[in-house]
Amino acid sequence: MAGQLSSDHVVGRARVIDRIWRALQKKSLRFTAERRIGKTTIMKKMAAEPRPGWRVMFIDLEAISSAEKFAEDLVTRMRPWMSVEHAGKTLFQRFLETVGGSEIAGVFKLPEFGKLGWKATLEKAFEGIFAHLHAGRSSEMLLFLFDELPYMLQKISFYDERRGSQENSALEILDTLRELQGRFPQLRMVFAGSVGLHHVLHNIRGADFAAESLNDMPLVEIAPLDSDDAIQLASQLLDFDNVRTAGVDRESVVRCLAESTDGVPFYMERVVSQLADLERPVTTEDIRRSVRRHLTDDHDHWEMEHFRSRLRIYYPGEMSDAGRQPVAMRVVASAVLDILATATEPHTVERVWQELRARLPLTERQEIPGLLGLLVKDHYLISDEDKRYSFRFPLIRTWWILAQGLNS
Amino acid sequence: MIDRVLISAFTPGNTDPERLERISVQRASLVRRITERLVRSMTTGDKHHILLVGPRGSGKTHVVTLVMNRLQQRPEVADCMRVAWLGEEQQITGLLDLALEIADRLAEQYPTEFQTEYRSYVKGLADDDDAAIAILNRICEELQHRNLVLVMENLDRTFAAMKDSGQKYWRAFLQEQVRFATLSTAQQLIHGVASRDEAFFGFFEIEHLGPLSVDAAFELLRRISIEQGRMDLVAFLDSPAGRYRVRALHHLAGGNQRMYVLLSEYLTRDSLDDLICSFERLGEILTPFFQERMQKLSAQQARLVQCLSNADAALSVKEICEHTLIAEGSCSKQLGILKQFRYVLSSKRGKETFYELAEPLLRLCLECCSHHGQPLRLIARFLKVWFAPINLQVTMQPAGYHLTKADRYRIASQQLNDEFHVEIRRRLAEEIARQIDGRQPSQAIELIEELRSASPPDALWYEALVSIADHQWDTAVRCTDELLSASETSDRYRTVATFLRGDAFCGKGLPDLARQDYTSLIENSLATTEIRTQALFARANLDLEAGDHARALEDCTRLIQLTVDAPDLQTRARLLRGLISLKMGQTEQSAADFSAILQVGDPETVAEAPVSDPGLDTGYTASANSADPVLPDKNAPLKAFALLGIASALLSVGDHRRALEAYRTILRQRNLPPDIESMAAFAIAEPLLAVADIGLVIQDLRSAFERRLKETEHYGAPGGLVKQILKKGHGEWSQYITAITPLFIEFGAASKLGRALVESIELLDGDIYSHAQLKLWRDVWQAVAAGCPELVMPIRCLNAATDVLLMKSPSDRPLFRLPLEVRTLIYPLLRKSLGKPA
Repeated sequence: MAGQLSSDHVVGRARVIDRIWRALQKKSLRFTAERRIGKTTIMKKMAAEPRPGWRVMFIDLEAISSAEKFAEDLVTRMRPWMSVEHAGKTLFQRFLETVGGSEIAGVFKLPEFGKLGWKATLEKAFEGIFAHLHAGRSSEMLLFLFDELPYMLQKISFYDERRGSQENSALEILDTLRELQGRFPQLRMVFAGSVGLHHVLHNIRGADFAAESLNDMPLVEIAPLDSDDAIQLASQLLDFDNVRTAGVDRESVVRCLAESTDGVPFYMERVVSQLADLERPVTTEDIRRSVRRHLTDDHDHWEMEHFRSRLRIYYPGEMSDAGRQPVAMRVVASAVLDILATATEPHTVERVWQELRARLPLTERQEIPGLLGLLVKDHYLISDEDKRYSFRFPLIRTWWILAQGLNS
Repeated sequence: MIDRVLISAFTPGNTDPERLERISVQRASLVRRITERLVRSMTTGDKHHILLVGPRGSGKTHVVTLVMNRLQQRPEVADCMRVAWLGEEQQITGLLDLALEIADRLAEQYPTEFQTEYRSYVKGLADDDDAAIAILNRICEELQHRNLVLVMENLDRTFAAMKDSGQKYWRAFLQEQVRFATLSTAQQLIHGVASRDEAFFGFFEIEHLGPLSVDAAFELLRRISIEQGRMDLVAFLDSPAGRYRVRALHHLAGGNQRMYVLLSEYLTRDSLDDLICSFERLGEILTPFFQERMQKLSAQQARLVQCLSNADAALSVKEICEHTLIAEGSCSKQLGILKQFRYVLSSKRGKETFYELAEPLLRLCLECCSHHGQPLRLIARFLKVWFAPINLQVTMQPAGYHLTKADRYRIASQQLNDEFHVEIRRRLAEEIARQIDGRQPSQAIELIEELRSASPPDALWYEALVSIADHQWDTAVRCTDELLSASETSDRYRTVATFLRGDAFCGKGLPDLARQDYTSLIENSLATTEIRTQALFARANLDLEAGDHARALEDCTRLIQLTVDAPDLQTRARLLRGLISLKMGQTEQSAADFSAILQVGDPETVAEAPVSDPGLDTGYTASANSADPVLPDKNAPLKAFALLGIASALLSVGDHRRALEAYRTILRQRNLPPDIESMAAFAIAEPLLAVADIGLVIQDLRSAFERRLKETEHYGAPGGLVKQILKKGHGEWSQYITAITPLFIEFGAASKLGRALVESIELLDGDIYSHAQLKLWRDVWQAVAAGCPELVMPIRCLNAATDVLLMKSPSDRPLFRLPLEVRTLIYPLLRKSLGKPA
């Protein structure tokens, strides 16, 4: 939902949050989802309603652009956890004595000429907190919810490169976080972000080692609302904006709203907002028209074009065609999406390959499973138990058909 | 004189809040919605972030002012809300500046709650973003249990100043603290908000402020006039002529709210001089704003804007290229950018896109910069719209007389052509047509009166049309008579008027006069093929209604020949002829027409198909193949309808198998209109019963009922089903009737079955069935219908009818057990036994 919801107003999500808490008992996690699906809402609900025995911190990392800034920010936020006193000094005062640095207006700053560096400073902060917990025999678990982590890593990597630095700070951050998790069994983390972490790691670590830092962090896919929850939210949104439904058939209007927006709160809310302007009872046809208008809108307020334009960035590289001429990978990805957008049933790898060859003179079949896998990771596709691929979201499929002119 | 401060066009906050409420139009639901969101933001943990997007003068600040006024009157937020309102004049230079502005505003507004020493608090923090976040966090502490509404006008400027890093810190702060709700405005959708790659994508609830509609503009001017006590102006605005002028102004003002507020002042200027001076002064005041915007454009973009400013109407890309000598590719690209930044608007008509300036005030300012003492065209146009021609005449003056400014404007107005009036009339005509289509005759008539004030002959046309649509036949005849007698009506329009009069005569119940008008058109070589075709259709329908099938068939055949180049019309003609033939029992002829319809999409086939070709075999086979059940086809309903006709024809010649196949083909198609689907789904039972066993019939019937077609006319219509059961051997009657009846009862269609049962009485009449069989038929029905209220009366009819038929010398005595209205329905069904009813 655009704007921010208090945790008690979040519709649905109870089951997925239960599942996440259970999984966190064992390991740290990675979240994956398209933007505006509701990851942040889930994380904020977890932070607002922590399970007994957990201390939770939600951190939006989008603004961070250096490893030092990351450490400073983290320590600044951990500051309230370091306010306990022991022998006349707080944990934080002891920490400052050890690492140097200063605190102005509640903001921790690393010492300008410090010897320790950001990594050790961070370790000291965690050491202090966990030493205190152990001393009190507390079994309390600490959970850090890092939102937009891939974006931060990408940005840090970009600045490193621009500075001509030999360091790979982004990778160091990931390694440090992994080490901390290894050292402190009571520490858990969630990495989340709309930019695919696999793409970022591919860029900063190289294709062969991309997943190394994350092997021990299971992936949790945050899906749109399930049908019942989507219907409940649709009904609430219509009520909230006083949108009346035509005739007595409110149920079908609500269902239509939930279904035609794939249960994505963001799209639902946009449609309701437009319906509210009609200032008359609405029908299912109004909903369908509104969705279609959004999908075909010249101004593209739903930014659906992003799903096409990002292929250029997400799918670099080339394949060779029969004449040994290069074919850009994004062209192949786009062709795969064209095929699956108009397919009446899910396709196996072989079937995709056969149809691809009818469009492009390709010879390297071995590339196709990997490409399909990436398209799944990037939320375009989904595969079933027979490894047959189809579009993940009907709404994006419809947009793709319209945008690519496949409907004529 | 009018008090200029009364309603401020530029600073709605300076206008009395109650007055502002009273003059608000078109945005009521938006204001209500935003207010409720902000109340919720203050009283719960939810936080809404609203962004109003619209060009300069579209009413953003007006909406913000209304919302904030309303919000501050809500008692439930009195203790939990604090407001920091950063006005339009505020130039934010970065995130730190924004934080300090918020802090200063709060300290100024609520001195006992917020400190003023924020600057010293963050002294020593070298990083501006760190300092900003520290201040914002401190504000959150000082808010205590309260929340903040932050109003930021010109968010686009603020975002640009904050840069990428500041925006991200700002978003992270809002995301994590959840204490601020924001209400912002921007002239266009900014990249930082609209792009999926940016931090604020999806963060704001974006509300686009569209231009005011004509009705809203009219209402706004009316309300302002009332506020100003100008009742003479109110009376004028309420007249058709007044409404027309507002419509014309709308064309000039482009739905810009500020323009109307400004115009509302000028409408009350008594002298032309005064008005012109005010207008010119307005241009001078606004020019620096627009000059600043123009400076942001590249040379090529500025040329395009200037070109559109000079134009009297919207221009196509080709025309713009011709005027500016810019290559078409660059021109389209630059226009796209200008559109994105709301300098221009585009409208697509067919393959062409037309562009015009998005802001009429920009035109005024551009003219101001380059007019060199010449009259400004926008003002001249305004004068032409607003003043009667007599007021614009320049009186004869002696030689050597120097023309005043007002005189020069009068002359400029007179020299303007009426092109934009033509455009206004066209739009008005479109609106009238929409109202007629939407069956809103009273609204259409109101618009026609408006049109009459500008162009009486045009109004007469629309009056005739709306009268016909509204079945006001006398008025329609009067209007068309007037049009036909007017000397200025051209021959072409005369034929249209004749056709309309024919329709009006039809409506009045004067078929002979209607026929006369249609015939005169059919024989008129000056009439267009289109009119002659319509007249032929109308005459064929008249003949059909009069029961003259032969003459109707003749017209249809003529129509088919006339519409060789118009496949759609030819299909209609074939459909009509097919139906008439079917009615006349000419099944082969009707099947040939229906088969030809199935070839739609291949006009040559339709044209070449000989009308007399019986074509049952070839036609039907082709139909089964051409009606592809999978691919969506825009002609699918028509094909399905034709197939229904074919199936009917096949049934009438007893070819049940092929009729069955035809129905099945229809039902395999997707996206059929429910009526056609319903008709086929239930009619299929009749041939099915003839060729298949009862299990299959029941299965098909159940699936027909489950198709959710309850709202359709043919839902549950058993059609020839009862007739077909009767045709089965009497040994099977019980099995069929017992199996089928409960299904109709279960799905609420028992009354339809009852009607079919009553109709079947006709088939019992005559000496076809033995007395034992008649009794069996009656008893079986009676047994299965027991307890079903909808079947009580049909069973009574059946009893009475069989009693008649069981009599040695049939008489109508048993029928007297039925109510009179029912009895009269039964007589014709028993005409063989009873003869004609007395």
